[in-house]
Amino acid sequence: MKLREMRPVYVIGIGLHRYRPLSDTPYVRLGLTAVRAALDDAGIAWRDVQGAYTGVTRLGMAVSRPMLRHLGATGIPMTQVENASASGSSAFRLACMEVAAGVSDVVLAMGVDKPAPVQRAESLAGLPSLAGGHIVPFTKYALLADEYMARYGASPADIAAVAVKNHRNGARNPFAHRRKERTPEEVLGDRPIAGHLTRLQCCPVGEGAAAVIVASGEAVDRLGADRARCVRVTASAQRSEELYGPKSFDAELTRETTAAALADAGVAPSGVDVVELHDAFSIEELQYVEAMGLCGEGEAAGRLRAGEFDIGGRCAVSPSGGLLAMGHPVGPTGVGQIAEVTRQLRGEAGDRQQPGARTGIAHMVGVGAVCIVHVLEAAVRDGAAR
Amino acid sequence: MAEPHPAARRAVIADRRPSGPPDLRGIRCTACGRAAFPAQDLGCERCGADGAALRPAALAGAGTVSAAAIVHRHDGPGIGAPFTALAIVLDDGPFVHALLDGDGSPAPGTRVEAVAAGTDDDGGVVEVRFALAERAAGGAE
Repeated sequence: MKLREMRPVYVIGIGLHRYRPLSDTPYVRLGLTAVRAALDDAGIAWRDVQGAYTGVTRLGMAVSRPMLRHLGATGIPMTQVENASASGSSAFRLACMEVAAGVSDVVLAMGVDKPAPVQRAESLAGLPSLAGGHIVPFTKYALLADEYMARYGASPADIAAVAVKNHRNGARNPFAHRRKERTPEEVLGDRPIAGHLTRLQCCPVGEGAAAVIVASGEAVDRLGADRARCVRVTASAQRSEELYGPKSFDAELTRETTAAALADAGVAPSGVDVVELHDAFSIEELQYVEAMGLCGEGEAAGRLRAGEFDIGGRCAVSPSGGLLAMGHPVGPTGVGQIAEVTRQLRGEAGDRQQPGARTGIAHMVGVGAVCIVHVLEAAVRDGAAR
Repeated sequence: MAEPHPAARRAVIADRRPSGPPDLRGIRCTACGRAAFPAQDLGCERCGADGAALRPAALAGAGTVSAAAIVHRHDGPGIGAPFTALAIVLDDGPFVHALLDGDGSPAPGTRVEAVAAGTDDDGGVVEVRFALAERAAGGAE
Protein backbone atom coordinates (compact mmCIF):
# COMPACT_ATOMS: atom_id res chain seq x y z
CA MET A 1 0.00 0.00 0.00
CA LYS A 2 1.24 3.50 -0.81
CA LEU A 3 1.99 5.84 2.07
CA ARG A 4 -0.35 8.41 0.49
CA GLU A 5 -3.26 5.96 0.73
CA MET A 6 -2.71 5.46 4.45
CA ARG A 7 -3.36 7.88 7.30
CA PRO A 8 -1.64 11.21 6.48
CA VAL A 9 1.75 11.76 8.15
CA TYR A 10 3.19 15.22 8.84
CA VAL A 11 6.59 16.50 9.92
CA ILE A 12 5.69 18.82 12.81
CA GLY A 13 9.09 19.58 14.33
CA ILE A 14 12.77 19.70 13.31
CA GLY A 15 15.97 20.18 15.28
CA LEU A 16 19.72 19.86 14.71
CA HIS A 17 23.03 19.87 16.48
CA ARG A 18 25.61 21.39 14.15
CA TYR A 19 27.65 18.88 12.13
CA ARG A 20 31.35 19.37 12.94
CA PRO A 21 34.70 17.61 13.40
CA LEU A 22 35.04 15.06 16.22
CA SER A 23 35.06 16.66 19.68
CA ASP A 24 35.08 15.46 23.30
CA THR A 25 31.34 16.17 23.65
CA PRO A 26 29.47 12.94 24.44
CA TYR A 27 26.90 11.81 21.87
CA VAL A 28 24.20 12.12 24.51
CA ARG A 29 24.57 15.90 24.55
CA LEU A 30 24.60 16.14 20.73
CA GLY A 31 21.43 14.08 20.48
CA LEU A 32 19.55 15.86 23.26
CA THR A 33 20.30 19.23 21.66
CA ALA A 34 18.63 18.10 18.44
CA VAL A 35 15.63 16.45 20.13
CA ARG A 36 14.91 19.41 22.43
CA ALA A 37 15.10 21.75 19.42
CA ALA A 38 12.62 19.53 17.53
CA LEU A 39 10.21 19.43 20.48
CA ASP A 40 10.40 23.23 20.83
CA ASP A 41 9.87 23.65 17.08
CA ALA A 42 6.77 21.43 17.20
CA GLY A 43 5.56 23.11 20.37
CA ILE A 44 5.03 19.77 22.11
CA ALA A 45 6.41 18.05 25.22
CA TRP A 46 8.45 14.83 25.42
CA ARG A 47 5.52 13.07 27.09
CA ASP A 48 3.55 13.59 23.85
CA VAL A 49 6.03 11.40 21.92
CA GLN A 50 4.97 7.74 21.66
CA GLY A 51 7.98 6.11 19.99
CA ALA A 52 11.57 6.78 18.91
CA TYR A 53 13.85 5.51 16.14
CA THR A 54 17.55 6.43 16.23
CA GLY A 55 19.75 6.18 13.12
CA VAL A 56 23.31 5.41 14.23
CA THR A 57 26.30 3.49 12.87
CA ARG A 58 29.41 3.77 15.03
CA LEU A 59 28.44 4.28 18.69
CA GLY A 60 27.98 0.66 19.74
CA MET A 61 24.96 -1.17 21.09
CA ALA A 62 21.84 0.40 22.65
CA VAL A 63 22.34 4.08 21.90
CA SER A 64 18.86 5.52 22.48
CA ARG A 65 17.97 5.17 26.13
CA PRO A 66 21.18 6.53 27.73
CA MET A 67 20.37 9.70 25.79
CA LEU A 68 16.58 9.94 25.77
CA ARG A 69 16.15 9.09 29.49
CA HIS A 70 17.28 12.64 30.22
CA LEU A 71 14.01 13.91 28.73
CA GLY A 72 12.08 12.05 31.43
CA ALA A 73 11.37 8.32 31.48
CA THR A 74 8.07 7.69 29.72
CA GLY A 75 8.51 4.03 28.84
CA ILE A 76 8.05 4.50 25.09
CA PRO A 77 9.48 2.03 22.52
CA MET A 78 13.04 2.98 21.47
CA THR A 79 14.82 1.32 18.54
CA GLN A 80 18.23 1.80 16.92
CA VAL A 81 18.37 1.67 13.11
CA GLU A 82 21.51 0.88 11.10
CA ASN A 83 21.46 1.10 7.31
CA ALA A 84 24.92 2.54 6.54
CA SER A 85 24.70 6.08 5.12
CA ALA A 86 20.92 5.72 4.88
CA SER A 87 20.46 4.92 8.62
CA GLY A 88 18.70 8.19 9.39
CA SER A 89 16.52 7.84 6.30
CA SER A 90 15.45 4.39 7.47
CA ALA A 91 14.71 5.71 10.96
CA PHE A 92 12.49 8.38 9.38
CA ARG A 93 10.76 5.83 7.13
CA LEU A 94 9.97 3.57 10.09
CA ALA A 95 8.59 6.49 12.08
CA CYS A 96 6.35 7.49 9.14
CA MET A 97 5.12 3.89 8.72
CA GLU A 98 4.28 3.63 12.40
CA VAL A 99 2.16 6.79 12.27
CA ALA A 100 0.58 5.95 8.89
CA ALA A 101 -0.41 2.51 10.15
CA GLY A 102 -2.12 4.01 13.17
CA VAL A 103 0.16 2.29 15.68
CA SER A 104 1.27 5.64 17.10
CA ASP A 105 0.25 9.27 16.70
CA VAL A 106 3.55 11.04 17.41
CA VAL A 107 6.98 9.50 16.75
CA LEU A 108 10.56 10.82 16.93
CA ALA A 109 13.03 9.98 14.15
CA MET A 110 16.55 11.04 14.96
CA GLY A 111 20.14 10.35 14.12
CA VAL A 112 23.27 10.81 16.17
CA ASP A 113 26.83 9.70 15.46
CA LYS A 114 30.51 10.30 16.06
CA PRO A 115 33.50 9.15 14.03
CA ALA A 116 34.87 5.78 15.18
CA PRO A 117 36.35 2.68 13.56
CA VAL A 118 33.76 0.63 11.72
CA GLN A 119 33.75 -2.83 10.18
CA ARG A 120 31.84 -3.60 7.03
CA ALA A 121 29.96 -6.88 7.25
CA GLU A 122 30.78 -7.61 3.60
CA SER A 123 34.40 -8.12 4.66
CA LEU A 124 33.17 -11.02 6.83
CA ALA A 125 31.41 -12.80 3.95
CA GLY A 126 34.37 -15.12 3.50
CA LEU A 127 34.78 -14.33 -0.20
CA PRO A 128 37.99 -13.15 -1.88
CA SER A 129 38.13 -10.14 -4.21
CA LEU A 130 40.62 -8.76 -6.70
CA ALA A 131 41.23 -5.41 -5.05
CA GLY A 132 40.16 -5.96 -1.42
CA GLY A 133 40.67 -3.01 0.89
CA HIS A 134 42.11 -0.89 -1.92
CA ILE A 135 38.59 -0.02 -3.14
CA VAL A 136 36.92 2.37 -0.70
CA PRO A 137 34.00 4.72 -1.46
CA PHE A 138 36.13 7.53 -2.87
CA THR A 139 37.89 5.05 -5.18
CA LYS A 140 34.58 3.81 -6.52
CA TYR A 141 33.32 7.33 -7.19
CA ALA A 142 36.61 8.38 -8.77
CA LEU A 143 36.11 5.47 -11.20
CA LEU A 144 32.54 6.60 -11.87
CA ALA A 145 33.78 10.14 -12.51
CA ASP A 146 36.31 8.82 -15.04
CA GLU A 147 33.62 6.83 -16.84
CA TYR A 148 31.17 9.78 -16.81
CA MET A 149 33.75 12.17 -18.24
CA ALA A 150 34.64 9.72 -21.01
CA ARG A 151 31.00 9.03 -21.89
CA TYR A 152 29.70 12.60 -21.94
CA GLY A 153 32.83 14.66 -22.57
CA ALA A 154 32.54 16.31 -19.14
CA SER A 155 35.63 18.01 -17.67
CA PRO A 156 37.09 17.95 -14.16
CA ALA A 157 35.79 21.54 -13.82
CA ASP A 158 32.24 20.36 -14.61
CA ILE A 159 32.40 17.89 -11.72
CA ALA A 160 34.08 20.37 -9.38
CA ALA A 161 31.23 22.84 -10.07
CA VAL A 162 28.97 20.65 -7.91
CA ALA A 163 31.25 21.26 -4.95
CA VAL A 164 31.45 25.01 -5.66
CA LYS A 165 27.63 25.27 -5.54
CA ASN A 166 27.24 23.12 -2.44
CA HIS A 167 30.02 24.88 -0.51
CA ARG A 168 28.27 28.17 -1.39
CA ASN A 169 24.99 26.82 0.04
CA GLY A 170 26.70 25.37 3.11
CA ALA A 171 28.32 28.73 3.87
CA ARG A 172 24.78 30.02 4.57
CA ASN A 173 23.79 27.09 6.82
CA PRO A 174 24.54 27.56 10.54
CA PHE A 175 24.40 23.76 11.06
CA ALA A 176 26.93 22.95 8.30
CA HIS A 177 30.28 21.27 8.95
CA ARG A 178 31.94 23.33 6.19
CA ARG A 179 30.82 26.98 6.09
CA LYS A 180 33.13 28.57 3.55
CA GLU A 181 32.56 29.53 -0.07
CA ARG A 182 35.12 28.04 -2.45
CA THR A 183 36.16 29.11 -5.93
CA PRO A 184 36.48 26.58 -8.76
CA GLU A 185 40.24 27.09 -8.56
CA GLU A 186 40.25 26.25 -4.84
CA VAL A 187 38.21 23.09 -5.39
CA LEU A 188 40.27 21.88 -8.36
CA GLY A 189 43.58 22.84 -6.75
CA ASP A 190 42.88 21.19 -3.40
CA ARG A 191 44.66 18.05 -2.25
CA PRO A 192 44.06 15.20 -4.72
CA ILE A 193 42.37 12.12 -3.26
CA ALA A 194 41.59 9.76 -6.14
CA GLY A 195 41.25 10.32 -9.86
CA HIS A 196 39.96 13.87 -10.38
CA LEU A 197 38.34 14.07 -6.94
CA THR A 198 40.00 16.52 -4.58
CA ARG A 199 39.43 16.76 -0.82
CA LEU A 200 36.81 19.52 -1.25
CA GLN A 201 34.85 17.16 -3.54
CA CYS A 202 34.63 14.53 -0.79
CA CYS A 203 32.23 14.93 2.14
CA PRO A 204 33.54 15.54 5.67
CA VAL A 205 32.56 12.77 8.11
CA GLY A 206 32.27 14.27 11.58
CA GLU A 207 29.82 14.30 14.49
CA GLY A 208 26.35 15.75 14.89
CA ALA A 209 22.68 15.05 15.47
CA ALA A 210 19.36 15.64 13.75
CA ALA A 211 15.79 15.06 14.91
CA VAL A 212 12.33 15.30 13.35
CA ILE A 213 8.93 14.62 14.88
CA VAL A 214 6.22 13.08 12.72
CA ALA A 215 2.55 13.02 13.66
CA SER A 216 -0.90 12.10 12.39
CA GLY A 217 -3.42 14.77 11.43
CA GLU A 218 -5.44 13.93 14.55
CA ALA A 219 -2.37 14.55 16.71
CA VAL A 220 -1.64 17.82 14.89
CA ASP A 221 -5.11 19.05 15.87
CA ARG A 222 -5.02 17.60 19.40
CA LEU A 223 -1.59 19.11 20.16
CA GLY A 224 -2.46 22.44 18.56
CA ALA A 225 0.46 22.38 16.10
CA ASP A 226 0.44 25.12 13.45
CA ARG A 227 -1.04 23.45 10.33
CA ALA A 228 0.68 25.94 8.03
CA ARG A 229 4.08 24.72 9.30
CA CYS A 230 3.23 21.01 8.99
CA VAL A 231 4.78 19.33 5.95
CA ARG A 232 3.12 16.18 4.64
CA VAL A 233 5.16 13.08 3.78
CA THR A 234 3.50 11.86 0.57
CA ALA A 235 5.80 8.96 -0.37
CA SER A 236 8.47 6.71 1.11
CA ALA A 237 10.34 4.32 -1.18
CA GLN A 238 13.22 2.02 -0.32
CA ARG A 239 15.01 -0.48 -2.57
CA SER A 240 18.18 -2.56 -2.62
CA GLU A 241 20.65 -3.21 -5.40
CA GLU A 242 19.89 -5.55 -8.30
CA LEU A 243 22.32 -6.68 -11.02
CA TYR A 244 23.20 -3.77 -13.30
CA GLY A 245 26.43 -5.00 -14.94
CA PRO A 246 29.00 -2.23 -15.36
CA LYS A 247 26.46 0.59 -14.83
CA SER A 248 26.74 2.64 -11.64
CA PHE A 249 24.59 0.68 -9.23
CA ASP A 250 24.02 3.79 -7.13
CA ALA A 251 22.64 5.67 -10.13
CA GLU A 252 20.47 2.75 -11.26
CA LEU A 253 19.17 2.24 -7.73
CA THR A 254 18.48 5.98 -7.51
CA ARG A 255 16.58 5.84 -10.82
CA GLU A 256 14.30 3.00 -9.67
CA THR A 257 13.73 4.28 -6.15
CA THR A 258 13.07 7.90 -7.12
CA ALA A 259 10.68 6.82 -9.88
CA ALA A 260 8.76 4.69 -7.37
CA ALA A 261 8.58 7.52 -4.82
CA LEU A 262 7.46 10.14 -7.34
CA ALA A 263 4.83 7.77 -8.79
CA ASP A 264 3.49 7.04 -5.31
CA ALA A 265 3.32 10.77 -4.57
CA GLY A 266 1.73 11.55 -7.94
CA VAL A 267 4.49 14.04 -8.78
CA ALA A 268 6.47 14.43 -12.03
CA PRO A 269 10.23 15.14 -11.84
CA SER A 270 9.46 18.60 -13.30
CA GLY A 271 7.25 19.26 -10.26
CA VAL A 272 10.10 18.98 -7.75
CA ASP A 273 11.29 22.31 -6.31
CA VAL A 274 13.91 21.18 -3.78
CA VAL A 275 16.17 18.12 -3.64
CA GLU A 276 18.51 16.97 -0.91
CA LEU A 277 20.58 14.12 -2.33
CA HIS A 278 23.52 11.88 -1.41
CA ASP A 279 26.39 14.03 -2.72
CA ALA A 280 29.09 12.31 -0.65
CA PHE A 281 31.31 12.87 -3.70
CA SER A 282 30.79 15.61 -6.30
CA ILE A 283 30.29 13.24 -9.25
CA GLU A 284 27.26 11.72 -7.54
CA GLU A 285 25.11 14.83 -7.95
CA LEU A 286 25.56 14.90 -11.73
CA GLN A 287 24.64 11.22 -12.00
CA TYR A 288 21.69 11.40 -9.59
CA VAL A 289 19.94 14.48 -11.02
CA GLU A 290 19.99 12.65 -14.35
CA ALA A 291 18.83 9.37 -12.78
CA MET A 292 16.02 11.21 -10.97
CA GLY A 293 14.80 12.65 -14.27
CA LEU A 294 15.53 16.27 -13.33
CA CYS A 295 17.36 16.50 -16.66
CA GLY A 296 18.37 14.16 -19.49
CA GLU A 297 21.34 11.79 -19.48
CA GLY A 298 24.60 13.68 -19.94
CA GLU A 299 22.91 17.07 -19.46
CA ALA A 300 23.63 17.65 -15.77
CA ALA A 301 26.89 19.56 -16.16
CA GLY A 302 25.36 22.02 -18.63
CA ARG A 303 22.22 22.53 -16.55
CA LEU A 304 24.35 23.07 -13.43
CA ARG A 305 26.49 25.62 -15.30
CA ALA A 306 23.29 27.43 -16.36
CA GLY A 307 22.26 27.77 -12.70
CA GLU A 308 19.24 25.46 -12.87
CA PHE A 309 20.21 23.65 -9.64
CA ASP A 310 21.14 26.79 -7.70
CA ILE A 311 18.94 28.23 -4.98
CA GLY A 312 16.65 30.40 -7.10
CA GLY A 313 17.07 28.12 -10.12
CA ARG A 314 14.55 25.69 -11.58
CA CYS A 315 15.12 23.14 -8.80
CA ALA A 316 17.42 23.81 -5.84
CA VAL A 317 19.71 20.80 -5.31
CA SER A 318 21.31 20.43 -1.87
CA PRO A 319 20.39 23.91 -0.58
CA SER A 320 21.67 22.78 2.85
CA GLY A 321 25.13 22.38 1.35
CA GLY A 322 24.51 18.66 0.98
CA LEU A 323 26.85 16.02 2.29
CA LEU A 324 29.76 17.91 0.67
CA ALA A 325 29.36 21.01 2.86
CA MET A 326 26.67 20.42 5.51
CA GLY A 327 28.53 17.17 6.14
CA HIS A 328 27.94 13.47 6.58
CA PRO A 329 28.01 12.35 10.22
CA VAL A 330 26.24 9.24 8.83
CA GLY A 331 23.56 8.39 11.43
CA PRO A 332 22.02 11.90 11.37
CA THR A 333 22.46 12.66 7.65
CA GLY A 334 19.16 11.32 6.30
CA VAL A 335 17.22 12.99 9.13
CA GLY A 336 19.05 16.27 8.55
CA GLN A 337 17.88 16.16 4.92
CA ILE A 338 14.26 15.92 6.09
CA ALA A 339 14.87 18.91 8.38
CA GLU A 340 16.22 20.97 5.46
CA VAL A 341 13.41 20.01 3.05
CA THR A 342 10.85 20.80 5.78
CA ARG A 343 12.47 24.20 6.40
CA GLN A 344 12.36 24.93 2.66
CA LEU A 345 8.71 23.87 2.27
CA ARG A 346 7.71 26.00 5.26
CA GLY A 347 9.42 28.99 3.66
CA GLU A 348 11.70 29.34 6.72
CA ALA A 349 15.11 28.76 5.11
CA GLY A 350 16.18 32.42 5.22
CA ASP A 351 18.92 33.25 2.74
CA ARG A 352 18.92 29.62 1.56
CA GLN A 353 15.23 29.75 0.65
CA GLN A 354 14.17 28.31 -2.71
CA PRO A 355 11.38 30.73 -3.76
CA GLY A 356 7.93 29.16 -3.90
CA ALA A 357 9.10 25.68 -2.86
CA ARG A 358 6.08 23.36 -2.59
CA THR A 359 7.45 19.85 -3.26
CA GLY A 360 10.76 18.41 -2.08
CA ILE A 361 12.55 15.09 -2.08
CA ALA A 362 15.22 13.61 0.19
CA HIS A 363 17.48 10.88 -1.21
CA MET A 364 20.17 8.72 0.35
CA VAL A 365 22.11 5.71 -0.81
CA GLY A 366 24.00 3.48 1.59
CA VAL A 367 26.60 0.78 1.10
CA GLY A 368 24.99 -2.56 0.53
CA ALA A 369 23.65 -0.95 -1.59
CA VAL A 370 20.35 0.51 -0.48
CA CYS A 371 18.46 3.63 -1.55
CA ILE A 372 15.71 5.56 0.23
CA VAL A 373 13.65 8.42 -1.22
CA HIS A 374 10.98 10.48 0.55
CA VAL A 375 8.67 13.03 -1.04
CA LEU A 376 7.40 15.93 1.10
CA GLU A 377 4.78 18.53 0.25
CA ALA A 378 4.09 21.94 1.75
CA ALA A 379 0.87 22.65 3.59
CA VAL A 380 -1.72 24.63 1.69
CA ARG A 381 -1.04 28.19 2.75
CA ASP A 382 -4.68 28.92 3.58
CA GLY A 383 -4.17 26.84 6.70
CA ALA A 384 -5.75 23.54 5.62
CA ALA A 385 -3.10 20.86 5.47
CA ARG A 386 -3.32 18.43 2.59
CA MET B 1 40.68 -24.94 18.84
CA ALA B 2 41.52 -21.55 17.42
CA GLU B 3 40.84 -20.95 13.74
CA PRO B 4 43.81 -19.67 11.77
CA HIS B 5 43.57 -15.94 11.09
CA PRO B 6 41.85 -15.39 7.71
CA ALA B 7 44.85 -13.45 6.42
CA ALA B 8 47.03 -16.50 7.08
CA ARG B 9 45.20 -18.58 4.48
CA ARG B 10 44.31 -16.42 1.51
CA ALA B 11 42.15 -18.04 -1.10
CA VAL B 12 43.63 -19.14 -4.40
CA ILE B 13 41.78 -16.99 -6.95
CA ALA B 14 43.48 -17.81 -10.26
CA ASP B 15 45.34 -20.58 -12.08
CA ARG B 16 48.37 -20.17 -14.30
CA ARG B 17 48.22 -21.58 -17.83
CA PRO B 18 51.11 -22.78 -20.04
CA SER B 19 50.84 -19.51 -21.95
CA GLY B 20 48.76 -16.35 -21.78
CA PRO B 21 47.21 -14.71 -18.72
CA PRO B 22 46.07 -16.82 -15.77
CA ASP B 23 42.42 -17.89 -15.59
CA LEU B 24 40.32 -16.46 -12.77
CA ARG B 25 38.53 -18.97 -10.54
CA GLY B 26 34.87 -18.12 -11.05
CA ILE B 27 31.58 -19.94 -11.28
CA ARG B 28 28.88 -20.51 -13.83
CA CYS B 29 25.32 -21.09 -12.65
CA THR B 30 23.86 -24.19 -14.32
CA ALA B 31 20.34 -22.93 -13.59
CA CYS B 32 20.52 -19.50 -15.27
CA GLY B 33 23.91 -19.39 -16.99
CA ARG B 34 25.30 -16.40 -15.11
CA ALA B 35 29.10 -16.28 -14.83
CA ALA B 36 30.47 -14.67 -11.69
CA PHE B 37 33.68 -13.96 -9.78
CA PRO B 38 34.77 -15.00 -7.17
CA ALA B 39 33.97 -18.70 -6.85
CA GLN B 40 31.35 -19.44 -4.19
CA ASP B 41 28.61 -21.98 -3.41
CA LEU B 42 26.45 -19.68 -1.29
CA GLY B 43 23.99 -18.85 -4.05
CA CYS B 44 23.65 -17.29 -7.51
CA GLU B 45 23.05 -13.54 -7.33
CA ARG B 46 20.66 -13.70 -10.27
CA CYS B 47 18.49 -16.75 -9.60
CA GLY B 48 19.37 -17.96 -6.09
CA ALA B 49 20.48 -21.48 -7.10
CA ASP B 50 23.09 -22.78 -4.66
CA GLY B 51 25.49 -25.60 -3.90
CA ALA B 52 26.20 -27.96 -6.79
CA ALA B 53 24.21 -25.76 -9.21
CA LEU B 54 27.16 -23.37 -9.10
CA ARG B 55 29.93 -25.03 -11.16
CA PRO B 56 33.53 -23.89 -10.94
CA ALA B 57 34.42 -22.06 -14.15
CA ALA B 58 37.75 -20.81 -15.46
CA LEU B 59 37.13 -17.21 -16.51
CA ALA B 60 39.53 -15.75 -19.05
CA GLY B 61 41.88 -13.26 -17.40
CA ALA B 62 41.18 -10.65 -20.05
CA GLY B 63 38.88 -7.69 -20.26
CA THR B 64 38.27 -4.08 -21.19
CA VAL B 65 38.77 -1.07 -18.92
CA SER B 66 35.56 0.89 -18.33
CA ALA B 67 37.19 3.37 -15.92
CA ALA B 68 40.48 4.08 -14.17
CA ALA B 69 41.56 6.30 -11.28
CA ILE B 70 44.92 7.00 -9.71
CA VAL B 71 44.48 6.82 -5.94
CA HIS B 72 46.70 9.48 -4.38
CA ARG B 73 46.18 8.65 -0.72
CA HIS B 74 44.79 5.71 1.22
CA ASP B 75 44.45 5.26 4.97
CA GLY B 76 44.06 1.48 4.90
CA PRO B 77 46.60 -0.53 6.92
CA GLY B 78 49.44 -1.81 4.74
CA ILE B 79 48.11 -0.10 1.62
CA GLY B 80 50.60 2.20 -0.06
CA ALA B 81 49.65 4.99 -2.48
CA PRO B 82 49.70 5.97 -5.26
CA PHE B 83 48.19 3.07 -7.16
CA THR B 84 45.72 2.81 -10.03
CA ALA B 85 42.26 1.32 -9.52
CA LEU B 86 40.44 -0.11 -12.53
CA ALA B 87 36.87 -1.00 -13.38
CA ILE B 88 36.98 -3.87 -15.87
CA VAL B 89 34.37 -5.76 -17.87
CA LEU B 90 35.82 -9.26 -18.22
CA ASP B 91 35.46 -10.97 -21.61
CA ASP B 92 33.44 -13.70 -19.89
CA GLY B 93 30.94 -11.20 -18.51
CA PRO B 94 31.63 -10.27 -14.88
CA PHE B 95 32.31 -6.63 -13.95
CA VAL B 96 35.16 -6.31 -11.44
CA HIS B 97 37.27 -3.74 -9.65
CA ALA B 98 40.99 -4.52 -9.73
CA LEU B 99 44.41 -2.89 -9.52
CA LEU B 100 46.64 -1.92 -12.43
CA ASP B 101 50.04 -3.61 -12.58
CA GLY B 102 51.85 -0.44 -13.59
CA ASP B 103 51.48 3.32 -13.52
CA GLY B 104 49.16 5.82 -15.17
CA SER B 105 45.47 5.91 -15.93
CA PRO B 106 44.48 3.84 -18.99
CA ALA B 107 41.59 5.26 -21.01
CA PRO B 108 38.20 3.53 -21.12
CA GLY B 109 38.32 0.88 -23.83
CA THR B 110 41.90 -0.18 -23.10
CA ARG B 111 42.47 -3.95 -23.21
CA VAL B 112 43.96 -5.50 -20.06
CA GLU B 113 45.09 -8.96 -19.00
CA ALA B 114 45.50 -10.62 -15.63
CA VAL B 115 48.96 -11.14 -14.15
CA ALA B 116 49.76 -13.24 -11.08
CA ALA B 117 50.88 -10.71 -8.47
CA GLY B 118 51.14 -12.92 -5.41
CA THR B 119 51.35 -16.64 -4.63
CA ASP B 120 51.04 -18.75 -1.51
CA ASP B 121 53.59 -21.30 -0.24
CA ASP B 122 52.18 -23.93 -2.61
CA GLY B 123 52.43 -21.66 -5.67
CA GLY B 124 48.71 -20.90 -5.81
CA VAL B 125 47.82 -17.48 -7.17
CA VAL B 126 46.32 -15.46 -4.31
CA GLU B 127 46.71 -11.96 -5.77
CA VAL B 128 45.92 -10.83 -9.31
CA ARG B 129 46.51 -7.47 -10.94
CA PHE B 130 45.81 -6.39 -14.49
CA ALA B 131 48.33 -5.04 -17.01
CA LEU B 132 47.90 -3.41 -20.40
CA ALA B 133 47.37 -6.27 -22.84
CA GLU B 134 50.46 -5.67 -24.97
CA ARG B 135 52.65 -5.45 -21.84
CA ALA B 136 51.21 -8.59 -20.29
CA ALA B 137 51.77 -10.46 -23.55
CA GLY B 138 55.42 -9.42 -23.39
CA GLY B 139 55.76 -11.38 -20.15
CA ALA B 140 55.27 -9.08 -17.17
CA GLU B 141 55.45 -12.05 -14.83
